[in-house]
This record gives sequence, C-alpha cells and structure tokens, in this order.
Amino acid sequence: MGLASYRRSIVKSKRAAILKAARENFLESGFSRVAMAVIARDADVSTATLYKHFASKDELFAAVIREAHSETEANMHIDIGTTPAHTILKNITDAYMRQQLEGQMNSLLRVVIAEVPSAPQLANEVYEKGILVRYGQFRAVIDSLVARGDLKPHDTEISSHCFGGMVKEFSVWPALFSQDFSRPDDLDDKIAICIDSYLKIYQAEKI
Amino acid sequence: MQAGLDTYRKKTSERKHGAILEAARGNFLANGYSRAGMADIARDADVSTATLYKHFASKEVLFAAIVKHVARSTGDYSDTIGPDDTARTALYKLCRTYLRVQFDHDANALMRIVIAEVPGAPQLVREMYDILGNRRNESLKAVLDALIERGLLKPHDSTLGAQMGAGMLKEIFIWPALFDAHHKLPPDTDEKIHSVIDAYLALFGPDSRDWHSVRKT
Repeated sequence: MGLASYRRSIVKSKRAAILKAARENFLESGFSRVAMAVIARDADVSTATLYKHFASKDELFAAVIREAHSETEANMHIDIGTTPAHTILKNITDAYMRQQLEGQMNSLLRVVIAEVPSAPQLANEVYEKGILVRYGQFRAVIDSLVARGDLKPHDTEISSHCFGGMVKEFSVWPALFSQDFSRPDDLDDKIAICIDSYLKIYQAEKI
Repeated sequence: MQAGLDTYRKKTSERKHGAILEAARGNFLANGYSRAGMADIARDADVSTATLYKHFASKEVLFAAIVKHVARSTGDYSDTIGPDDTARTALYKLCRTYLRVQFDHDANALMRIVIAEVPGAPQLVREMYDILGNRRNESLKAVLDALIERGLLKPHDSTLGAQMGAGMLKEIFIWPALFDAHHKLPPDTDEKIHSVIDAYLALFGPDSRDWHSVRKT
C-alpha cells in the first residue's frame, strides 16, 4: 500500500464522515439553520477540508440526497433478461421502500419541502435532479418491458408516475406528515396489489 | 331595541372572525406556521390581540380552523356527480374537484406548511393529515360506492380504489407542487386526467378484465 492509496483512503473516509454528519444535522435542524462549521466539527474535519469536498451547503445537501438514492438507482440499471415483470417491479419497489424508510428519504424530503419558501433552489435541485432523474430511469425499465412484449405500447411517462403514485399513497404521503411513521404491517400486500394493478392496466393484449 | 343591538354585535363579531381568518391565512402562507405571530395577525385583521384570543384560543386552533375551512369548502364530493353521468364523466368531475381544492384554495401551500411543522407540532399535523388525506379519501370512496351501486363500476374494494386513484392524481399534479411554490396545473391537465381515468377503468370499469386472469402472470 503506497502513500497515494493511503491518502485516497483518508480522503474517502473524510468524505463519508462529512456526509454522515451533514445528514444527521439536516435531519435534526433543517437546512437553513445548519451551519457548515457545525458539520465540520461533527465530522472531525477542518472547515477548509469540508469546503474542499463540497463548495457550498447546497452542494452538500445534494450529495446527501444522491447518496440516499444510490441503492434504488442500482436497481434501475438492470438488464431485465428473462426476469418476470412482477419480480422486476418488486425489486425496484423494495429498494425504493428501503430508501424512503430505513434510508430516511421521507425525512429528508420533509426538510426540503419545509424550505421551499426560504431555499427554493434546494427543492428544485432535489426535484429535477433527484426525483425526475429516477423517474427517467424507471421509465426506461418500463420501456424495456414494453419492448419485451409484457406490456402494451403506451405512454410510459404517465404510467410510471401512476405506478409511483399508487405506491407512494401507502408509504410516502403518510410519512411526510408523521415523524414516527414506520413500515405498515400490510405494506408488502399493498405493494403486491399495486404491482398487480399496474400489470393489469398495461398488460399486452393476448393474441 | 335590544334585539337590534344583539344583531349588530353578532354581525360585528362575525366580521371580525372573517377578518382574522383572512389575516391568519395570509400570515401563515407568507411566513409558515412557526414564524407567524398572533400579534401580527391581530394587527392585519385590525382587531386587538384580546379579541383575537377570544375568537381563537391559540395559534394552533387558528391554523386548524383555516385548514378545516379549506377542507370543508371542497372536501365533500357527494354533490359532484350528476344522475346521468357516465363513469368517465363522473370520475373526471371528481378529479377536477380534487385538483380545484388543491390549486384554488392554497391547499398545496398549506400542505407544505403542515409538513414543515411535523417536528414541532406533531399533533396538529396528524389532525391536518386526517382532514386533507384520510377524510378526503373517505369522501371519494362514498362516490365510488355510488358508482358501483349504479353499475357504472364493477364491485371492488373502494377504499383501496380511492387510495390508488388519489395516489395517481396526486403524483402527477400535486407532488411537483410540494417542491415548487409557483407550480401550476399543466396545459395538458385534461389529457393527463383522462390517462388516470383510463387506468382506473381498466381496473374497475364495467368492461375490465377479471382479476384472476392477471394475478401471478
């Protein structure tokens, strides 16, 4: 192990510490009230180091959101192969649920929404570069199900939102209004119904 | 004479009540819940703070009154549909009414304010969600039941149906508004509403396929 790789691993661990401290502070105090100096202190780095990693608080927040999205994103970039449509949708939805619940994305979104009047650029960034990008990736998966003949050709832009809306009604909307929302016992059943419904609405005509 | 005086007093009290609600609404929308002050609201309503507190015992009560007002004026869908409506017409009217509440009565902004208060006033938030979410879905369910009764929709779990329908509608039109204070209904709103209705009718319309034919395929 050379000096260069040692340095790289230090940089990486500092970055991880910063992201962790930032996430905790944002969840605790919202966006506006959190000071970069406090994040640096909690991450045990100098503010100079902090700013070397993230040029602004906006950029830091965006990175926290990106990190929280990463698992769902990994489940979108897939080769559907011969995997059944139901399984594909289930895997994506499960990853999304982990992101929203265990990954605290619901709470992060609450922070963003609370700051719409004071930090509109933050909400815009999260919506355009987070939510819409994820939808684009999901839509590509749906398009490949259409191409494989599982689903009939249809407006996948709107249908991907319809699917997201059904799932979110049971898992995101109630959580936005409650800090101690926990995974409902029947969530898996509800998700199965959403997937079945989606496949029923858009299934290919049988020849 | 006494009767005349009582009427006058009652009228004045009602007028003040209305002025307070209006001032409070403006203050909450501009500053959010936490930062809105009762003194500012009293000043904007042109009443004393004593009068304000006589009408509304606390800021929480006042805020709840505003959300309830919004929900009451538009959260009831029972008069939405006509006797000769087709399923599509009835569902279209439901969707339009739902969106009107959100966009014409500041419900998007109120939702954002409520969400911002989740850590600070969880009890208030729970009550608001019950009004803006749960009770609205119940009202939607009642209309769906009426459509099932008329044979315009297949018998189905209308509680679940209301949730799925509202979920689709909210995702397309209301979700973006949570992230953008200036979000408006898009020019192709009608087209999108009909896509949602297409989806609902594919599930529960009179000609929809049976469930067992698609389950586990």
